[in-house]
Parts: sequence; C-alpha cells; structure tokens
Amino acid sequence: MGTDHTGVLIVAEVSEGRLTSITAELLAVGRTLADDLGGPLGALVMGGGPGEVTSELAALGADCVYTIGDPTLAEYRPEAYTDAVAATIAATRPSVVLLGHTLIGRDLAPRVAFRVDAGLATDCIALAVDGGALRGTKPVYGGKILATVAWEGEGARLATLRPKAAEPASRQPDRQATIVALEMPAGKPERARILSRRRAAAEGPVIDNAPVVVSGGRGLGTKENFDRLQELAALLGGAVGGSRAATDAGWITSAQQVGLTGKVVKPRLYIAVGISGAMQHMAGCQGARTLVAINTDPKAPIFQYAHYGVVGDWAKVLPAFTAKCRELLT
Amino acid sequence: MHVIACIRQVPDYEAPAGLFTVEGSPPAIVASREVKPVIGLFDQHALEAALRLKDAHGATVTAVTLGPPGAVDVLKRALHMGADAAVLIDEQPYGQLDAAATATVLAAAITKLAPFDMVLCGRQASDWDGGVVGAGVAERLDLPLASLVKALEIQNGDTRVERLIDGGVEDAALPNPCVLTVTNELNTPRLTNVKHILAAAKKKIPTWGPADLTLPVEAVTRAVRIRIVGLAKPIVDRRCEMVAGEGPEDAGTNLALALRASKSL
Amino acid sequence: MVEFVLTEEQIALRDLARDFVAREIAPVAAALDAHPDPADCFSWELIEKLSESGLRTVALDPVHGGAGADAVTLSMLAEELAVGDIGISVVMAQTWKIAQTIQRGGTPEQLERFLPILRDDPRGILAIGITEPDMGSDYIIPFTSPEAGPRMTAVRDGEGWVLNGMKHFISNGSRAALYIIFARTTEATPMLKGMTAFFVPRGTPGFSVGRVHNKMGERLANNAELIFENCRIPATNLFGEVNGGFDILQRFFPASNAYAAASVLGVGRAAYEKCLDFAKSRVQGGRKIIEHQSMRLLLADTKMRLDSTRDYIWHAAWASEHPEHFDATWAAMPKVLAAETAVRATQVAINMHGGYGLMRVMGLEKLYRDAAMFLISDGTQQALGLKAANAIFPVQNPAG
Repeated sequence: MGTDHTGVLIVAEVSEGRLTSITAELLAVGRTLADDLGGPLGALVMGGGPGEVTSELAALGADCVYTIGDPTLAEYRPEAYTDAVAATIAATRPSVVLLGHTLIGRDLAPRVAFRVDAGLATDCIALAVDGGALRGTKPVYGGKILATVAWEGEGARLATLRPKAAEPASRQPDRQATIVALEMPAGKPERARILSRRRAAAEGPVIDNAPVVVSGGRGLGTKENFDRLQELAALLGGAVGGSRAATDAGWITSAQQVGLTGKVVKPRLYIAVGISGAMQHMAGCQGARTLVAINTDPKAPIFQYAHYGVVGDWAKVLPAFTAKCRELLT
Repeated sequence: MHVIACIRQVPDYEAPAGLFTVEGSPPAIVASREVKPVIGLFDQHALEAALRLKDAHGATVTAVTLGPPGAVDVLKRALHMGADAAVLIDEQPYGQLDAAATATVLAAAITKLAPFDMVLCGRQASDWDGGVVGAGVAERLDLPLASLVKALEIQNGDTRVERLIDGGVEDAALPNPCVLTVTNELNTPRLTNVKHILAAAKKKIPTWGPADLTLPVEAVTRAVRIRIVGLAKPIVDRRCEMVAGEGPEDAGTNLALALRASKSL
Repeated sequence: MVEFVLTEEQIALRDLARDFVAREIAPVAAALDAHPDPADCFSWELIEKLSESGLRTVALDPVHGGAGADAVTLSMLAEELAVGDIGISVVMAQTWKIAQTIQRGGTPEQLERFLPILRDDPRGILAIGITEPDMGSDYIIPFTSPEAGPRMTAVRDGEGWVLNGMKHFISNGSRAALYIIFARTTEATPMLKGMTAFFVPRGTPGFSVGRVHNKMGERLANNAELIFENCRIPATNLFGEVNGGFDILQRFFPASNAYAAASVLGVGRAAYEKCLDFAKSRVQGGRKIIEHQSMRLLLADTKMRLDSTRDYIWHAAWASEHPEHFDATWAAMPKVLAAETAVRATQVAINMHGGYGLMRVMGLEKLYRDAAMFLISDGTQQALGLKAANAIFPVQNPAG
C-alpha cells in the first residue's frame, strides 16, 4: 500500500440537481473508514461549482468536496467520467474510493478500476478496517454465500456499495467543508456517442424509496394481473415491483425489477405475490421491515424469508386481502 | 463480420441455497452433486446476441471460455446453438483468478482471435456476481465499451445500443470493434438445434495454455487485485407466521388482520 | 462388447428434447389437455416449434435433410418428449416411424415426391391408417381366417385405384399431410395376403376426415375417422407390392412397438419424478415422507420397473435395425411391459401424493389417463400377448 495514499473519496450521484440517497449512504460508510484509516473524507461531484449540492455534501460529513465544473458533465457520460475520476484519484491520492452499486456505479467503477490499476469489489454490503487492512463483505452465488474480500496492490482500493445496505449519514446543516475545484484534464475524444436519453415518465410511484412495495412474479401469469397489484399498491400508498421473470415476460419495466440485477428496496412493507423467492430476488427485498409472501407452493423458498405467509392462489387471496385493507384503512 | 462471445461455466444459478455449503480451510464453496454446471445467465444472452448477428448479418461467432477442462461443455452447447467455433482457455496454470486477472487472460485470447468486430459479455457472472470483467477486457484492449445493453443493432458499420439508465434507456453509437456487456432484457436465448448438433460433431475445440496466448503466467498472477479471504453462508433466522383460513379468501382477510395487529399495515 | 453409454450426439439430442419440454411443452400441456373439444387440444404452434428445432425431421436420412437418427435414439427422444406430454410424443413418434418406413420401402419416385413434404413443411406430420370399426386386434395377432382383414377396399381403376371404406382411431388422422392406408385388394384372401398399402396425400378428392375422437387421455394428439368415397389414386401411389400390405406391417411393427413403448414409459417416468419431488418436501409423521419405509420401497420398486423397461425397449429398438439379432416377441411385448409399468407408476404416484394426488391441478390424474391409453394403443395387451405367443409356438387361427 502506497504510503502517500490517504483518506477516503466517495463519488457523489446527483439527479435533477439533488443528491441521490446512495450518496448519503456512501458518506456514512466513508466516514467510518476515514476515521479508522486516519485521513480525510472527500466527495467528488461533477458538472457544477459550489452551491446547494456541495453544501449538502458538507452537511452529510464530507471534509473536502471536489468539484469538476464542466457543465457537460452534469449527466453521466462513461468515458468523460472515467477520465475525471481517474484524474481525481491521481491528484488527491485517496486510499479508498467508494461508489454506489447503482446503474452508474456498475458502469463507472470497473472502468476506473482498470484505468488506475486498482482492485475493485462490487456490491459490498459492508466495508470495514481490520488490522489496518480494508475488508469488504460481498454476496456471491446470487446471494447464497457471503464473501470477505481483501485488496492487493499499490494505490487506491475501490468498492461499490449496495444501495440501502448502510444507513445514510446524518445531516448537520452547519457543517463546513473545503471546496476544491479541479480542472478536467484534456481527455481523449469520446468514442461512444451518446445520442439521446429516454426516460419514461414513471406511471405512478417508483419502488426505489416507496414505503410499500407490492411485487409480482411468474405466478401472476399475465400483464393484466399486474393491474390488481397496482390497485393494492395505490390503496397502501406504495408502488408496484416485480421479479426478473416478470421483466423478461414484459409485464413490468426494468425500473420496477427488484433483485440482484434490479433494484434493492427497503420498504416498510413488501408484499411478494407469486414469487418463489430465489436468492437473486431476495437480495433486492430482504431488508424490508415486514415481508409478506403469497404463493401456491408451500415449499417456495420465499417462506424462509417472509414474516407472514399465505399458501394459496393469489387470484383469490389478494382481492379479499385488498378488500379487508380498504375496510381497515378507511 | 466476426463476433466473439465470452461465456462462463457456473454452478446452476437456479439451484436452491440449501445445496451449497462452505467447507475446508481455506474455505471453499461446495455444491452438492445435484447442482449441474450451466452457462451463466447473462452469458446466454450474450451468446444469443452473437447468434442473432449471425442470423441477420452472416457474422461468424466464436465462443470463448476461461475455465477448467470440464468447461468445454458450455462451449459444446454454444456450438449446438449455432456458434461456428469455440476455444477453451485453460485456467489451471494461473491459480486463483480475480476479475482483473481474468480480463488479462481473456484480452490475450481475444487478441489471438483477431480480427473481430465485437466482443459480447454478460453484465456479470452468475457465480461471483462481479460485473467487472467486461470492462476490464475493453480497457485492456483499448476498445470502446457499452454496459447494461438491452437492445443492439448494426447501423452503417457502427453498433447502436440501448443501455439501462435510471428511469429509462440511453441510446448510444459505438464504432466497431467494440465491447458490450448485456442484460437479460436483450433477448430470449434459443434452444439448441439438431442441425447444429450434427455440425458440431465435426468440430474440434482447442484448449489454449499460456504459450498459446504468449502471456507468461506471472503477468497474470501479478494482475490479481482482489483476494477472497473468507466465505460464509448468510444466517437466515426468520420464523414465518403462516396465515390460514377456510379457503384462500378467508386467508386473505386474516392476513390483513394480522398485519394490522402487528402495526405493519 | 456392449456399452450402455449414450454418444455425445445422443446426449445433445436428449438435452435438446428436455429443454424443449421445459420451455415449450410443460407450460401449456395441462391447459391444452383440459379443452373439452379434442380439436382444441392440438397445437400447431408446438409442431412448428418442433420443426424449427429439427426434432420433427430427425428420422429422415441425412441425404433427405434429417439426422438419420437410429431406433434407439428415437426411442430415447420419444420418452423425453412424453415426459412433457404423451400426445406430443406420439405425434412425433408416428411421423418418425412412418418416415423410416417410407425411406426403406418407397420407390425413388415416391421418395422424391413425398419426402420434401416431410422435410420442408413445418406442419409435415404423418399418419398410418389400418384400424377400422371392425378390424383392430385382428391385424395385431394376426387373425388369418378369410373373414379377418380390412373392410375397406381398393379396386383397380385403369392404371390407378379406387378406395372405398373408412378407418377410425387413426393417430394424427385429422392433421397429417400424408397417409399410408391399408385396404383389401383381394376379397377372398386372408389378412396376410389380401391387403395392400397406398399413399394418400391430404386433400385427395374422395378422401375426407370424419370425427375427431374425444379420448380419455393423450389429448394433445388428435385421432380421427378417415372416410374414403370413390377416392381415386394413381398407380404410383402403390406402396410396396399388391397384396404385400402385411409384409410392410411386419417390417413396421418392431420399431413401431418400441417407440410406442418409449412414449408411455415417459409418462411413467414423469409420474416417478413427481413422486420424488413431492416426497422430498411433504412432511407427515414428523418426517419427510421419503424417509418413510413404505414410500421408499415404492420408489425403489418403481425405479426398477422404469429402468428395466427402458433396457428392454432399447434392446428391442436396436435389434429392429439388426434383424439377425431380433427376437420376434420383441415386436409385441415391449409395449405390453411399458404400458403396465407406466399404469402402475401413475397409480403409485397418485397413492404417494395422498389427497393431493386426486386434485387435477397436481397433474397426476392426467398422467393416469395418459398411461391407460396405452393399454390399448398400438395393440391391446392381450392381442400383443397372443402375437408374442405365436412367435414362441405358432397355432393356426389362435382361439380361446
């Protein structure tokens, strides 16, 4: 480990001018690691100068906020971001670099890791310092096994953090941080051309931070049946999600997919309808405060993770459940 | 057009958790005999994408695997699905491989298979769930990369992709040769076919070692950046309260009442 | 030197059949079976997908565009498809066995005229019309008195023939592209010397399809009546020799019986696999029922019967293509054993599942109905038994 590498750098994610929830989680983990390793906690944000975002990063615990002000970097661009993060690592020499295991982080972190020849552990649910060395805990085999990993080589150590695995850092509104504007290096011209971004206006609430998620799997059978889930979700003030099987069948969009290669959600209530409970799915929802499962198969693995379970045909269970909920809530 | 698909043999990712244990010192993951080796989930989508380029543009498809001798089975399956050629890269000389070392070896093999127009990988392996190797291959070969690809086509010699972003898709164009990592929304992998099964019987699958790649073993082991120092099964300690009733409707009603009582509703 | 090992190619074909069952047949079989109108139980979509995979034409010689699969391979594939659904297995097995028969016995002109249908039409399935309302076990045994034989007639008409009469219970009867029809050509002569085979393509004027039978099981295959009213066919549609129809059947029966046996064996295996699955999770008496002695003995016994039946079938199938090693009883008894094995296995399966075994949603009653079909299909157990007995010790016109 190069002795001149010190402190922790987190890569912030901004959406529509505001920090996304993963950033606060990264700062919480980063703070602990920075304190254990001895060194500052830095945050890198792209596409703007000092302002609301930098103040927020300071309030959430960053000692130093690095900005790269080039407005063309306001939205994620793989090659330009890779150049920028690599240059920031070279300039600030952090000992640990953390990104979110988000759609951005999954693309950016590996590129940066190979660019700076650093080890990268992805989708970590925990990071800690053990005897001066960084250790990551990472689910493997679809979540069936937990691996503890160690980094080798000189220079920075990279990790992506699973969303919702850590509690977000608490805000101290008066906290101050040093703000350093970094110059974007004259990078190579981008080879991949971004032509457009198309975001469907989400039909109703999104699952990411919804308090209640009603989720459907293969057992639903048709796209129309998801309307029944929507009815229940609306009643409970929640959003509709689903398994990879439901995405593959075209019954839900990728944005609604819960699981290892979908979204990790941590709602107050997660109702799994016609979902067998494969580990890849459970990885996305097992953090729910209350997990309810409805499935015709008494042997379905989901009953090992659920707090409440009903063995039965959802087409009969759900309408009765919805009706009773309506009665109890109004 | 020549397309290379990188595929990996993994223990059946649909096998239940109970069939896997952690044993030994240093700890290793042991799968029960019931767990069959298969092609990784996302690798199947990568292979299917390559075969669709063959259907649409007459591309030749080469499947590549880095693995132990038994991994030749996934390459045979690739041939049975319609791949034109397959190569096994023997992993045994290299010891413990991480994503960085794997990318180093694959990059050397892909170089040897040049010229090529595209390299297709799954977005992550179904055993180690890293999602790192595809990017590593692109970086080592200094090729443009698009990850999380859910749609792709060739337009005027460029590769046009749709990739997953928060809330939607990003349309991008990459010059060829390029590297793509693909996701399950991209396609439905085809079954094998009698015609290809018969044709494959006449094909040889070579095994390449370090000498064939002109890549010294030390260069690979020096590339390792991540080591696994511990393995454990997660402890799931949950008791599920099963809610019943006189029939499914009654159970549904009782469920609502149970959740209300525990203040979950 | 005997090796009981599949070749790599056979393993790959077997895996293709298994994948096809999992992806295409298993998700739809129960719903198709449940349609009250038998015509609705049949799925052209499945047949077309079988064509796409190459499985429909796997019995064609490579020179005619197929894989040249041998009888053992076809037996294996018939079993694999039947694990998914026996009707699908039968539709394919009929097509394979008739394709083999055509390839071995057709004239070059007939091969050139008919094999392209089989090769190129994604709906190219075949049927063989022997059974009539008044002729069933008679041709299995065979009963050789002058009264026995087809009532359907074929009479010379210039260079060609005119067919009159009807067939019934014909597998693929309402769906085939090409039929081989057996008719009486010499009124006063017994079965063995008075019957002739003819090719009749679908749509030939004077040939129509009657009722589609409403069967107890095997519903994804359609069986139907065939009606011939002054149906004219050219001389070039004669298959084999005049009055040589039974010779064709003699050559047809060995592999045919093996494939029928393989199909119903698949039903027995499906029942056994469901038992294993259920017994590993169902807990009664404080333990998984697979740990209860009574269940363990049932499983061991069922497996013994399935494995030994398979070996018998594959030996008979292999020998059907190596006639110097063929035992004449093997043209009859493999199906007898397999039907018995499968019927027993489905009963055991219902038994092991307890109350769940009686519930339609579990699929065991379908297997029970499917297996029972083969107590009759391809020859009743008794008719085939008499056929085998005749091979051991022939009697004239067996009776009593």
